[in-house]
Amino acid sequence: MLRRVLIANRGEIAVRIARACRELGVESVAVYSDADRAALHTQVTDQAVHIGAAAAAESYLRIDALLEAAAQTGCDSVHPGYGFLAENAAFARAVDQAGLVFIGPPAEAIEIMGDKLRARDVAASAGVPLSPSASIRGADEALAAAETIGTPLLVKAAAGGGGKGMRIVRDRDQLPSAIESAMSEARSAFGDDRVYLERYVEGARHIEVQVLADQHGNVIHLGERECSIQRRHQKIIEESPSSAIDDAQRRTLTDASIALAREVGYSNAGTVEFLLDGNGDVFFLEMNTRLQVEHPITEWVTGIDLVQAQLRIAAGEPLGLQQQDVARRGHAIECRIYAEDAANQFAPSPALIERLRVPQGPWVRFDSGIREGFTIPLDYDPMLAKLSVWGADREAARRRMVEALRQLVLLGPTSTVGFLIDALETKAFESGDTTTAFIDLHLSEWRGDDRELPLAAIAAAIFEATTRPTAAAPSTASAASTPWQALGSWRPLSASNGK
Amino acid sequence: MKRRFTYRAGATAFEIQLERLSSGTPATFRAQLGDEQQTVEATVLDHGSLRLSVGGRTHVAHVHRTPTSISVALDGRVYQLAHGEIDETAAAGHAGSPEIRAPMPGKILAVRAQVGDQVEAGDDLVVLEAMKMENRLRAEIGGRVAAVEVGEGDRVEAGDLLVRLDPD
Repeated sequence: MLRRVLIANRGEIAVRIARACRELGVESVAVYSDADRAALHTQVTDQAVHIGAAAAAESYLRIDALLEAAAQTGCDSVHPGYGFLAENAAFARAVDQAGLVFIGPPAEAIEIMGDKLRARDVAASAGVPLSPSASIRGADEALAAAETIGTPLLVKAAAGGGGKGMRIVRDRDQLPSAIESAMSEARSAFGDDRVYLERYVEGARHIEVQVLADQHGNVIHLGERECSIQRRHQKIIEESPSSAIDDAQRRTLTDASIALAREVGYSNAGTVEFLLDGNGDVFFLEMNTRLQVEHPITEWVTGIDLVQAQLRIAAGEPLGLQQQDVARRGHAIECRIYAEDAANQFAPSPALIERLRVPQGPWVRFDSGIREGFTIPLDYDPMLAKLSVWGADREAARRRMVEALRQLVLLGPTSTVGFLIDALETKAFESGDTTTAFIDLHLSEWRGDDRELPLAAIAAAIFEATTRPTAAAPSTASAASTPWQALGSWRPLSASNGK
Repeated sequence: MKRRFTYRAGATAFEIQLERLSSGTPATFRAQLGDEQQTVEATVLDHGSLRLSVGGRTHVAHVHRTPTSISVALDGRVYQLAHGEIDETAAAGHAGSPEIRAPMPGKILAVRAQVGDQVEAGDDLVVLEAMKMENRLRAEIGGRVAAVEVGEGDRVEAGDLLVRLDPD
């Protein structure tokens, strides 16, 4: 087994990895930037090493600083988490060359899957279904290619990810300018301006398959997740299983995913993403060569700890599981809770966490890297937490999630909790009618939490009436008198009022 | 004795008259909001949280107060309330918009402006009924009324333009 793992990440995923290490008796070392000195992830590992300034480029993206931290603390392995350097082949190679174990796939597999064009070639040779596409070098070629592919089209960056360098084109006249702007965005984001065209599947569902592969040639899948509900091409609600596919479609997806993992010589945990169109056809999207944010829902329905599996596989252990050993039970849903204002185009709202009360109850899981008194740094992704639940069936899971979200108390940053409750309570979600257009179709008019505004105002008034003398004007509530200090006793409004 | 509390949430200003009917645990209050009157039983649970029973339903509210605002967490949602009325902050804050828009869907109860009227910041222009509340929508800036887009009894959607001013 591994002895000591450097966790080259922050936030909830660093906490998640540290827990898996503890449970396996493996030591762990956190790294942190200036902005994360007091972050939760630095408090759950055996050691913590400062690696630089707040900006990710000066800390969590610094390969030299991470390797230095690993050497200084005597680590034998590195877990990259997700994001930051998780899909950076150069990092995987550098870890390898430093004589450490990279807890993830071989650098070669990262490299191939990170290049969308090469990934499509490998997928084609593995027999994975692909949407019509064409690689192009400029606008002239594009117009000819668009002719055969048809509209609507997607212009995508070969090196892309997270929606960067991506454009939807509905009208062929827009194609040249879309290509130009996609190329320039891709150049600045990835240093690589190769783009390609792909048919855009409207009203599609996003369905992905979790695979696990060891270093001895064993590859299994852990079923699918549906992650159709997205904003800005990023997932916010995920579930497993998908309510949209039957066993035959599931078989197509899982067989294709295993074939692709074998074709690329994969090991460790990975995810193959597909689009499912309205006709029930599936198309390969990409392979994510890392642990996914939404891995907890697969853990819920399979009972398999994916991070522990990652550590075991990286240590060279065989899977110890065959496909028929993987049983899936019930239904799981995850909501990503962001420090964002859903009523204002999901504008980020980083702030001090004034109060946090975490949902509790059976089959409720809260993964986060935050705590009361922590200020959400401006420098990183605004995800605050992931709330996931399990239920015997989809409706049981949905109701459990709504109740869990209602229990959550999160004061400080504006968060997406109210938006998520409303999303889960739409008829469309309830009936499983979830596509990538879900938010546009059902929640584009969402303007904020106003349902219980009168009651909230009454609560505020009663709070004020009971926590400071009647004479105080609002302006005298100085920064020094926090509610904690002010709320010492239950104060009568006035002497004459004691009926 | 009654106490008066005024809050704003977005463009909505409202006023609560609060009267304590009994002390103890729980204490009982009568809260008047617009035309609605409610009896609320309240217990302070710990620093910053209250249990409220109103209309047979019980809620736990978590409240956080800063010098300028109050956040109330209620059943997972968070409501941001600013102290005071629209005119107070319009004077202190940004320049204000010449457009009065509906902050939420509702019914127009009254229109108190006609095209050509000269109005001051803080003047009531429209009364909107929504969520059982009367929302008095006020001029954020002074000016002359250039357009009135709604009449009494009209139903409006959130964001609809109600009145437009020509700024002074």
